[in-house]
Amino acid sequence: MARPSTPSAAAPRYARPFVALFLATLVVCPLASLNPWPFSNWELFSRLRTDQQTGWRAVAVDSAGREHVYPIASLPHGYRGFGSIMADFSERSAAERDAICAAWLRGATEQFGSGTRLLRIYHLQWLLSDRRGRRAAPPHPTLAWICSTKGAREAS
Amino acid sequence: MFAQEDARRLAAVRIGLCGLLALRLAITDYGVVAGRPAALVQPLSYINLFERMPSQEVVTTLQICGVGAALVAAAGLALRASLPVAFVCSLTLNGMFQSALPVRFYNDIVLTLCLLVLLACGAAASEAWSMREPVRRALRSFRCRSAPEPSIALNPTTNGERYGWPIRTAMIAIALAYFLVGFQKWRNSGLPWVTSDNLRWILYASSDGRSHPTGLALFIADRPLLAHVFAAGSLLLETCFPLVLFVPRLRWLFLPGVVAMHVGIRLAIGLDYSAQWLTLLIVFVNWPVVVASFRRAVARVPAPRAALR
Repeated sequence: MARPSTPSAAAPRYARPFVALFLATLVVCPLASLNPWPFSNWELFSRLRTDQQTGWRAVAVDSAGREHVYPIASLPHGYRGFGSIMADFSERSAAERDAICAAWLRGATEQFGSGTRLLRIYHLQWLLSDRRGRRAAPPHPTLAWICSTKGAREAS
Repeated sequence: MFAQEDARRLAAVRIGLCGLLALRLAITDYGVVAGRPAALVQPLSYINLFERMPSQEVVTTLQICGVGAALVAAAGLALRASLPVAFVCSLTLNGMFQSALPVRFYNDIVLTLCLLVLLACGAAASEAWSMREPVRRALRSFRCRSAPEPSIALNPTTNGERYGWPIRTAMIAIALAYFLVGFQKWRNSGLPWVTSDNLRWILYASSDGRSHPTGLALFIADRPLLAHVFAAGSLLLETCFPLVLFVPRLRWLFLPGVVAMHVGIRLAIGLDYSAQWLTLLIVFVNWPVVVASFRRAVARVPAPRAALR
């Protein structure tokens, strides 16, 4: 089946340094907790979970004061990552927070109409071990941020 | 690592990986991150070079170019140009897609790393099972010229180091990927990753996060002992996976085990790792042997048992 090899069948000269560099990068990234895509630190699901869960919920408020649940995380045009943005929201500069709030408020206005006045962002806490049938018990919400045309304001 | 290999095996890896890349580029909804407002971007790695996420038009163009180039590369045509184009389109699209995810997801990482190795091996991957000669023959007959010589005359070598090192490098990369996933669990959590209720909370959280509860996730999460068994099994598979590099017979155990694990994760948690396990099969299965077995089976001759060597 296989014919005898000839000198042209040898690996190219760059193959060995490439393999060494490639495999070294693959190993160093997790050891140094680096995540330079397409390399990875391979940490997904590596840390222990507990039954205590936290999350975020955004609610749009219209001029009459009525609240509408605003599912930012599942909107189709690029608003995914709501949770990850909120995770370090308080550490961002005021200008960054205002810009993020303005983008979300624009999205809410598109969805609920021009009467949308502000967004309330709640921090949610719940226990996975507290089951109600096939679901966890409803989360405990705490108002964390308010997004209005004036920008982001931390709830007191 | 640098032992000789059949040119057709590398060609099979080229066809598989490029075909899979074309499929991934075609079916992934990159539109969800297109045109994302700058304030909502958390760019990673080289995506920092972009001031904002590309528009929907740019994303569609990249998808079309990427799919086309990947199919041309799978056919073994103009590999030095088609594969880099497909790879750059994939890096851009997947890089921006990963920037929008709350956590870094692995599905396309292993495929991308193996494509990087394929890219590095140059034209060696297109020296067998290529559409180059049929295309040339068709072009020549169209131009009414004489019939060409068969492709083997252009390159008499069908076995060599140049076909072996990309395959073995890809195998090591995949084995390391699985090992490092397990290693990080040992490093960050240790044995409690198995002995605590960790997997139960993962399953409950996943099920609760969906519009309809997931039956399989709740079935396992409601049974602590079963959850411990699955946690131990997956950690054992990941940690011991590199053994397949040294004991090829173990591939008959580990490959189906890993595929079953990924399918289980898809059903229970909803995370799609199909690109990863398909890459695994493309790289580890000896496809020329499978093809020969298939031909012999069709001809009713007993088949060899070397498909995973």
